[in-house]
Amino acid sequence: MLLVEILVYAALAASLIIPLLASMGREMSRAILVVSWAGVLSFTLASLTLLFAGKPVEFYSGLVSHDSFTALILVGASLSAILVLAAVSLDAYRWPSHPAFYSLTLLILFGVFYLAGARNILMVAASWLLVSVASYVTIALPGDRDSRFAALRYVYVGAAATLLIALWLSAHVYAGGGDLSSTYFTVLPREPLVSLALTAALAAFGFKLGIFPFHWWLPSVYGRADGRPVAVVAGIAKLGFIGLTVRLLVESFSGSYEAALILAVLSALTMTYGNVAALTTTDLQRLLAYSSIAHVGYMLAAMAVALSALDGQLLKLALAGIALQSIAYTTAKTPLFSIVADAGRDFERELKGLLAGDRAASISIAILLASLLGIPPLLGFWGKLYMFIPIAKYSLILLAIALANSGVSSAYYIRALRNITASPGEAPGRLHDTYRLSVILGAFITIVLGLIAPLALILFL
Amino acid sequence: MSGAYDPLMPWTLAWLAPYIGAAVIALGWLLKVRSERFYGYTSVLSILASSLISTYAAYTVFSRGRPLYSGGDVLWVPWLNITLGTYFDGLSALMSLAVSWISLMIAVYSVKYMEGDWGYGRYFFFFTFFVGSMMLLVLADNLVLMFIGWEGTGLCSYALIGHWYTDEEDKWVGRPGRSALGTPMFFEPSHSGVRAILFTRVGDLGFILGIAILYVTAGTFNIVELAGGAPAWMQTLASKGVLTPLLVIFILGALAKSAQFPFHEWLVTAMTGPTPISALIHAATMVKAGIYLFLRFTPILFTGALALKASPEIFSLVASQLEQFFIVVALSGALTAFMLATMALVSDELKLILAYSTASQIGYMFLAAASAGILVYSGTIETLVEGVVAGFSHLVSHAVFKAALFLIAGWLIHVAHSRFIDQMGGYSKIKLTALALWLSGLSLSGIPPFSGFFSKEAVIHTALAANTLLGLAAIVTAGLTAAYTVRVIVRVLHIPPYSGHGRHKVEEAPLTMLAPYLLLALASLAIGLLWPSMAGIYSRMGALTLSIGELVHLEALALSGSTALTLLVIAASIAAVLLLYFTFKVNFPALLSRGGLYAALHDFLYDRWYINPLIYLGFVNGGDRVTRRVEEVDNGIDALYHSVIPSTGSLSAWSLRALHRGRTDYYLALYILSALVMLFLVLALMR
Repeated sequence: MLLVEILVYAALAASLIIPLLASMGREMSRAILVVSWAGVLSFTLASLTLLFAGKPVEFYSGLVSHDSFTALILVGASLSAILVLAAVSLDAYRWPSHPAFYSLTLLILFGVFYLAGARNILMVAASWLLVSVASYVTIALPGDRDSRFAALRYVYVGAAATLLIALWLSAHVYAGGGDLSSTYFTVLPREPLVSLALTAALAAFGFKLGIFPFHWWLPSVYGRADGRPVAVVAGIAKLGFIGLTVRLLVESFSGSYEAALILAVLSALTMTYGNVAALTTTDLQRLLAYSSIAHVGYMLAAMAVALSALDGQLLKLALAGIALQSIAYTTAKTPLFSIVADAGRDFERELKGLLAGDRAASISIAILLASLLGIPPLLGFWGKLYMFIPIAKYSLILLAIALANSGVSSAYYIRALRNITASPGEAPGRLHDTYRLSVILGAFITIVLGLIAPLALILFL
Repeated sequence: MSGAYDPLMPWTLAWLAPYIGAAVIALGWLLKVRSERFYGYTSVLSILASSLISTYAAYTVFSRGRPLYSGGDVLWVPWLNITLGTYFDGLSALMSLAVSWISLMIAVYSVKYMEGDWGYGRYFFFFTFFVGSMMLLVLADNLVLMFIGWEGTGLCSYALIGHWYTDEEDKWVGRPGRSALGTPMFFEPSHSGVRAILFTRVGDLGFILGIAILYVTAGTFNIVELAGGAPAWMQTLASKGVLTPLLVIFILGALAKSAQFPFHEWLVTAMTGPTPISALIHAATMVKAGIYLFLRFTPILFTGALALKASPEIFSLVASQLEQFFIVVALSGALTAFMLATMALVSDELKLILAYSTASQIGYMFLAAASAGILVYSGTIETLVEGVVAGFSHLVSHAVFKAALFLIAGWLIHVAHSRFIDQMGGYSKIKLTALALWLSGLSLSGIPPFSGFFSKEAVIHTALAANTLLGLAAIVTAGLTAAYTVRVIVRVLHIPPYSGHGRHKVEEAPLTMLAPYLLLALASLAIGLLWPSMAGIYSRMGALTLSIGELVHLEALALSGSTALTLLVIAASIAAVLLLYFTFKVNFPALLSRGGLYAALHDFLYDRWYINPLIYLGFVNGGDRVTRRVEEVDNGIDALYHSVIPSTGSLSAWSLRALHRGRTDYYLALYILSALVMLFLVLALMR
């Protein structure tokens, strides 16, 4: 698939050209935007090509491989990049680090291609570091106090997580007899040392995804930093980690009852923690941060099913659910995180009565929140449905917990919605055009994909 | 029955015409027609059409000597085989005649009586709709159609009792402020309307359940088919030992509709409606629906049992259960007749006395037919016909004189500006009204040669034949009836009012109001004078009635010792009343204020044997208590949803968020700690 490689390299090239263009003066800002769009669209094209390839595609002698699941993940990351770029447009140019945002977004996108498709431990390490470091820096880019502190926290905890991933890698090297070139993840032997490695992996991936009890940093970073870099980290980078985690788990622990049980317990704790913590907040960004934890909880439940599933159909359904949910998550979260930076975060004050000032944006926000809640026929509904069906076969208790959590989440989504549609406190707010465009585009994608999502099953079944 | 059905028209119009009239009235109301005449005349004309068709139908039935059955082949609900059939046999033909003509009289009276009323159009809509429903329930060939008419009359009754739903005090029933056992004993129109529909609803539940069980057992709703298959379905039910309870449940609706004990309470307070309504619905027609249903089914049950005589064991099984059923009904009838007559003795509200009297007289009718039923073991078709005819002839007599009495009451209340008889008096100067009151009152008292005498005599005769005690109860009640009736007549016509009240201008009613009640009062005399011919007609009716079909020659009057005894009791009680008022000139209010046994007895009867308070304490207050308990539970659930869950939620949300204090070292420490805990857990699990 030379075409895909060229398109992905084009994204990397765009990322690298941007600093050069920036050095040519401020008047190049439009050119930077055009190059950014070119990079993002090129990557999107690569993702779609993979998606419609109809079979798994290998790169670099199998070190990287993409099947329909990871292709969907890449499509989700592309959509997120499109939405965030649409929202931010030229705004990031005002930041002290002006061209870095565009460059790093593309770099993260590039890294996600390797992260989601990695089949080799060294590839994992390399792409992990690429995406992580780029993410840390991205959070700090706006330069305000909150963003800088958030980035600092992210780096600190992230460094600890990276150490743990090194531990996990060495366990694999040990189990594989020192072979660093294998293109599959070894099934680890049951030894205390390996248990240590497994815990290390759990803690490291848990850190990246925000799984309880490794999520401590997340509300602080997602909830306090500027919303636009958060949109990149939560929308693009996170999808790469989801893709990698699913592949690792399925290949290393397939059929392991214990691993599935651990994941199931963690999933229940994670979704409950996220939903309960989000309940009473009036801060939209913080609400989104906690609900991100909850969403990972749902996905984790589906991953538990994927591990335990001896039935191939069930595994595929669970994977379809995770992929659709990832896309639903990212198409909703990216514009929502972005608009917080524009319109304000308190939905009982700044966002209250937005409907009166900005009908199209408000309705779009409503659609995105409804999709996160899982209202049919929006994309979020199909994601949850395809995840919950296999969960029902795995454990009714887990399903009940997931459904109850979904019910609890309606409380805060609807509260946010009610405030947005309430009569305005003072002068009704209005989004800036690029942010409006992003949120409307997000809603449009959510509806359209929601309508064709049932067909997506064909890719898997 | 011949195989072919009579044509749908014009017979269906007997019940359809008033419905059409009601629809036209409703349309007029929608189009905001202001003319009162439009509503009144539409009603009168549509009821006139119904009366004429009923008359023609009755003539046809009696002249050709077989029932008239139209529309039996017109399917309405095909999968349940429910037809739109109109069935005139001896019983329903005469019943429809009585209903339609008396309704017509009262409609004419109402045109004048309701003049200027703010609910004129509404009044005539429900009035006309009522007549249609009543005719439908009389003429329906199946139980479903009958039930629709049945419920239609209930609905109209509710609306008309509460006609003056703004509840002005002069429209109440009972003395304002009076209470018994802590329960208020006065009722506003809106309250009375609700009472009526709730009391009868209890019975109707039984009725509809009975209809369903009959359908399941007999496989049909059609009354003619039910009659034909009676031996079979009665045997089925009797063999399971459920014939008695089923029939009791089935007839509950009839007992409730006809205000028999323990359902009589709704009727007495129904007097909050306009007086013509009391005359029409709560005296002459609707309350007769229950006894009509009973008269309709008594022959079916009786002959159904007789048909099983060929196999003595089965007959004995069925007859014993049937006998139990008829005993229950007879006791209810006798008890109602007696109990309500005692209440009428002391009541001081004119319409209330008439209402008590109505329930009491209907008790007679149930007693008559049920007494025949009790004799199912030894009885023959003659026994049956005697009982049914006694019940039906008393129904007709009562409808005529009670309608007259109510219409007179309407005028007297208007004249006195009060519903209390102690505030009336000296009205003998309005001669024609006084004459009408005497005529209809004597008929109610059972004085020869009025119709009431003959029909009541027949009832007592049948009751005595069934059981001496039942007969004696009927005779005692006859004495009480004469006493309270004469008391009212004397009180209202011949002595001055107790209080200074009643100094209003006393004059005759306008012709359109006077004529109906005078005619009815005269009719009550005429029917009595023509009793030998009437007996002939009733014999023919029996022969033409479903499940009888055999001509039984009835004696116009079988004079016996009981007749003499009854007349003696009646004469004695009338004499007692006259003596108390004219010779001893007893001042009853003064006597009452002295207290003692008389006052205690008075209060017991005045407060209706405390049955209303007991019903309220048991059912209404009991229900209220249950409601309050449920409300407490509901409050608990409410608190759970609105306080406990939200506060738990916000507290947990707050405490979870409190963990994220924004300190980097703290996050790092938590992260490492979590990883260590997880390590131990994984080690434990993976071992």
